[in-house]
Amino acid sequence: MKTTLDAGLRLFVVCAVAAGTLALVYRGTQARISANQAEEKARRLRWVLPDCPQVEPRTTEGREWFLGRSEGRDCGYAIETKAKGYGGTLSLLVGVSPEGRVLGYSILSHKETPGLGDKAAKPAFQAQFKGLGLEKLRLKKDSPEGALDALTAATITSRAVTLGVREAVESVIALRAKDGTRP
Amino acid sequence: MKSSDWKDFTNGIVRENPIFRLLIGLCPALAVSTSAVDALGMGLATTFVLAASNGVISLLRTLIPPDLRIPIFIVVVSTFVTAADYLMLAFFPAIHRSLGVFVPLIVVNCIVLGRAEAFAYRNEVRASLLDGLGMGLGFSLALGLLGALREVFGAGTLFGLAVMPASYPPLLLLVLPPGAFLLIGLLIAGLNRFTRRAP
Amino acid sequence: MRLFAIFFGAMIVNNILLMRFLGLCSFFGISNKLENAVSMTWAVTFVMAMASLVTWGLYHFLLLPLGLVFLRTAFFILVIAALVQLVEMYMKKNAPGLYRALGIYLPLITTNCAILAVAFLNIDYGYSLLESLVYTVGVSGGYGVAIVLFASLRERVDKAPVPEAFKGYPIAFILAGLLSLAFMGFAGMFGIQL
Repeated sequence: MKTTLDAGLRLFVVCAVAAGTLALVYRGTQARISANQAEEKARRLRWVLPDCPQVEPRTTEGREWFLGRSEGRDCGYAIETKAKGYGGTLSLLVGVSPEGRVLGYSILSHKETPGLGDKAAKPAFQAQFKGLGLEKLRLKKDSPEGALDALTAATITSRAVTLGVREAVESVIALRAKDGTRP
Repeated sequence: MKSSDWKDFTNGIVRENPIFRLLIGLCPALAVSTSAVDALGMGLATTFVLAASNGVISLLRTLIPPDLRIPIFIVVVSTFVTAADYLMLAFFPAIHRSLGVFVPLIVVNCIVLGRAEAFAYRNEVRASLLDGLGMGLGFSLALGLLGALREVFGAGTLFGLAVMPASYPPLLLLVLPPGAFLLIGLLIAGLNRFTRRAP
Repeated sequence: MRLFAIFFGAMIVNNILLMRFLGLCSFFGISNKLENAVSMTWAVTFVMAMASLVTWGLYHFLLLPLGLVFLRTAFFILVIAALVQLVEMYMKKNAPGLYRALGIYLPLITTNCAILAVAFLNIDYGYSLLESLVYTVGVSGGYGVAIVLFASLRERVDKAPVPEAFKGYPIAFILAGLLSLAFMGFAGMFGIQL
């Protein structure tokens, strides 16, 4: 009986010390972790809304989006979308101008094939999207009006990114109508 | 440094290299070795956990009742693993993102519990620390080698910098899952060829 | 439909052994005989399903409300270890036949990273209890498919004239590579959402 009690006590002490240490580490790192995440988000927003010094988060009908402002005027909108890629879901943050044209996008997460599909995050592929409106946001091989070249050996990924960006532009137009800002 | 220290330290690097000799800890070795940076990040995180838990367990070894040693080992190891997880998230968020679930999974890496049971519980603190460092370093080197080979030949870069001529077509297979199996098979076969002479 | 996608994604497209490299120790250790591979699959399925249920409940009803998420790793591994012990004791007493068949595999399962990984992934993917269960069954199905195929391949290769240096593990790795290559053919088949 005495040994059981003794052993239990030792186990308890070890567990308590372990939990205490972890609580300290957790407290100590939490500020830095959330600062990292905020920094990461700000960096992405600067990337997709390059000409907007101020960005305000908004929520319309439960969907979060961002309004970019410059010198008192609306200069762009950013919104997250998801699309089905080759290996799984792709999620994107897309910047759209007040005229409904693409300003840029940033891939938040993806499961595409390394070396093929993940080239969708590279500047060369991204640059094609800049300034396009809904009518031209198609792959050349899918539509005669399309302005986008698909990535070599990664058509499905290219199409997924295109669809994701289209969905973002459509959502921004719809959200703005609901939010009351003029198109 | 005494010669026995040197022996404790190098044991895990060469003679009992966890990956190439003992074939344990394979899951992270194959999963996160797609690039040299990820591989080394994983290796160093594991080294930290190994050395720290070896040290603490060795320090407490006279106070740990034999019946309760496994649960206590698990508590100690998982404490360091969680600490490593949060520290990486705070200071190396990019590497942490690509390692994902494999950081908390260090806790079931057979090397860590294995060394606690086989070495730290029976040896003094200094030797246990050296053993943990050596084993961790052996693991890191094996991982770094795999990561570097896969990155150089599979993507044409090393630590993200282009090292192969532009005309080199990257052998994509190597950065995909099957490439990991094939490469490690070939490496171990090569090692056998040079160490295990035919009778 | 979502459940269906989770199930096949877990079983084939993101096969836990061949695509995600989890649970490899048992994959190489136990697959030299087909019957061992089958028994191991049952043991893994059983423990994984129980562990998923328990850890999911523990996380959502205990750790999350109390703000103790940082104890997740320690809690989960201890729960799995305890669960394996309980199952072993229960089986020994009440199902000796089953115990003889699966008993020796049970202690190995505690350090099978696939079990702990599935418990983490259920949380990280934000699955509901039902989705977690479907995911778990899919994963263990995939484990079974891969290890049974692999064991059958190894039984044949055992009798083949393999170069000296490749005998044992190296040829097993090469086989696993080829099997993994075959499974890559399924990538993109469902446009699976994870």
